[in-house]
Amino acid sequence: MYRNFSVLIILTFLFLSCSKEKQFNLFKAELFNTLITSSQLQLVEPERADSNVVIVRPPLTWVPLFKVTVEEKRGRGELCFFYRTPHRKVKGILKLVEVEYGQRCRTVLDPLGETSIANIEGVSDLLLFTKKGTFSGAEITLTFIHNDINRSLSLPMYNMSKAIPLKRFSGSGRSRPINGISISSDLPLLDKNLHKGDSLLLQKNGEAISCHRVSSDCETVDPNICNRCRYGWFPGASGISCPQGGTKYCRPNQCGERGMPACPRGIEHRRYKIEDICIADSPAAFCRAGLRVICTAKKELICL
Amino acid sequence: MNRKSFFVAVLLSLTLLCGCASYYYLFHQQKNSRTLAKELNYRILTKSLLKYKKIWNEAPADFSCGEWKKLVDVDLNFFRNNPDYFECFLAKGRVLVRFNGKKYYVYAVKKQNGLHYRIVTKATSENSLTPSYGVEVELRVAGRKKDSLRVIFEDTFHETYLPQRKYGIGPFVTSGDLNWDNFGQSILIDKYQVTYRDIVEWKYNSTDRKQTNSIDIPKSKKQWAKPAIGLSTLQMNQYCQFRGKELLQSHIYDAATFHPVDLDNDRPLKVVRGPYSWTFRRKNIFEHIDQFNLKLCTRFFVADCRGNAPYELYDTHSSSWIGMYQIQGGNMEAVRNVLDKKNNLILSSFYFDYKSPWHELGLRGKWNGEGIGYNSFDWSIGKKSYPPLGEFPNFKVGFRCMRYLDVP
Repeated sequence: MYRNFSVLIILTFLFLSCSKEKQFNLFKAELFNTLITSSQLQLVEPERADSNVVIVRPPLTWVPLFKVTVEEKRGRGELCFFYRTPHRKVKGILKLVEVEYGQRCRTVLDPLGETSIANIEGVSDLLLFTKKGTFSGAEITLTFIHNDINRSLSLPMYNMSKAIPLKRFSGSGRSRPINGISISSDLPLLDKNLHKGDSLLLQKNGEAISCHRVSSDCETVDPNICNRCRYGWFPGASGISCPQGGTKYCRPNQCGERGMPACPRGIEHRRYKIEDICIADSPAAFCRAGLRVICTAKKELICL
Repeated sequence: MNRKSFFVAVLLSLTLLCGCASYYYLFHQQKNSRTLAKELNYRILTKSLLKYKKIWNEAPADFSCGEWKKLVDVDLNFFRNNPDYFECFLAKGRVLVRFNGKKYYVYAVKKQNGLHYRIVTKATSENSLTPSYGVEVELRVAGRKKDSLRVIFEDTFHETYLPQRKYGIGPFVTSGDLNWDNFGQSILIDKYQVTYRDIVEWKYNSTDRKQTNSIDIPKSKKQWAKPAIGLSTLQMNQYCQFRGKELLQSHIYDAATFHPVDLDNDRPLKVVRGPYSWTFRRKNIFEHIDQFNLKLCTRFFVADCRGNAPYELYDTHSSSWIGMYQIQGGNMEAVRNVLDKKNNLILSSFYFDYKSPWHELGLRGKWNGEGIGYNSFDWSIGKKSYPPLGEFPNFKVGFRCMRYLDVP
């Protein structure tokens, strides 16, 4: 009787440890499969990462750690990663949930009520690292204790990219975990009808359509969406010396032509003040021979 | 309810409950094993990426690729970031990946278009992550059909960056020299002139058949490394737009080709510049030379080289200070002149001998933008005409594109 009882205890222990292993493996797989296409990472409280200080406060609270943007069938999705901090004998929970596009992780009151992507219980001693991989943020590493076993999870994010300063002989302005490679696991296949879509920002009624409008005092009037121009974009001369660059337009580039934005000539070498640029015959711009640079009421340099 | 009915009802309820529980358990089991299998597939596939990247970026010479392999007078650079060459590998090759002590093979899935890749540009995708130009390949693990990864291989080879500094426009003049600068602007320029291979791809992917149907493409792939000629300026612009770019502007061509005197000083008081791309000296080195040294043909393929020296395509000898090739000699090149629309052609080419004034950097000629016959060009500088040497039934005009980049 005693012997049978021992066997039963051993079997139960084996089953439970197998189950714990399974739970961890599943959590790891779900995180890996989801985050592989993430293109943006935002740490909610950056000081919690890379600090070697175990996350414990405030106790028994859902703490948002980071937000990622992933590519998926429906387009772009956003996910928040939470940690319900442990307290005494109550262990913590890690949870990745889907949030509405644009929603801040802090505004998610109850992560339990959100669509769960990955979830694991029995967690403590969590540390979060982001400064691994090719550049900061290209890989997230989580270390924690899960039911008395030390765990470490490395999650590469292949679509993360950051702008790199270009120099002579540079061929690309972005750095990625594997340079020149990105993953689009669920993007729709080529649809030639897309050419007629609304985001086709070309000239309408003889006017160049701006994709980033900057005022003469260097304030962004319309945000930069030039990335969405199907055929690329070109800079106008207005606001060219602003830190974010000047007003930009979707192609085709007809700068310098009658009624079109003037072509930027640069101003740096002449050391002009910004307010001195938007004037007739501005030295900051080019127009085709026979046309004059004019400053419009909207403070744009065009050719007439 | 008698005892028997009650018993049956309890039994049925229990059976139903057990059934539901089993279904729930099995469903989750299946879902969980699917998730784990997907992770394994993704890990294997991502491990293969560096090997695919090597083929895409470096195009190793030892890989045999049918008709492409037999190309003569074509530099191996032609095969780098070249979808046709990549297709050769994708169609033939499987990549071996060792993962957790086991061997797996990764292969590219064949698409409906009969190829193992598809072209991605901003014009063919709504995704803002899409690069200006690249190929998308669907990778799968052999024997594990459920999951695949669509990987975009970006073209990072064919463009070169124009550093931000002060530049001059046209040949240097001591008084009234025209300058501009590109501080705050990131400009990428095609290293090479657009080839027939590029045009074939455009023809295949373009929705506007009217523009592409009239272009003559050599049937043999062996000719496809050659600069594409015979296109009108409208077609050139359309092609560049397909790639998210525009026809190279003449003052940007000047900036890319005039060798700066002092590379470390990006704001020189005077932008002094010389007639040749390989030196900043202002002296005409050929003025008092009676015999052209054929060794110079690699960087300066002029009329004297025709029939006397090989015209290697895609080579890197004729390089400017920023790594832009095919500059002086070779084909003529169409540009967009912002200041003077009609002066839209770089005439330095193999139609003129080494002493011709047309080889001077910054000089431009006139082309009507359509024809390729003698009368479609204006061969005069000022009042004097400098026509090509010999008789030609038509003239070759190549082109290249440029684009602005939204990074510092």
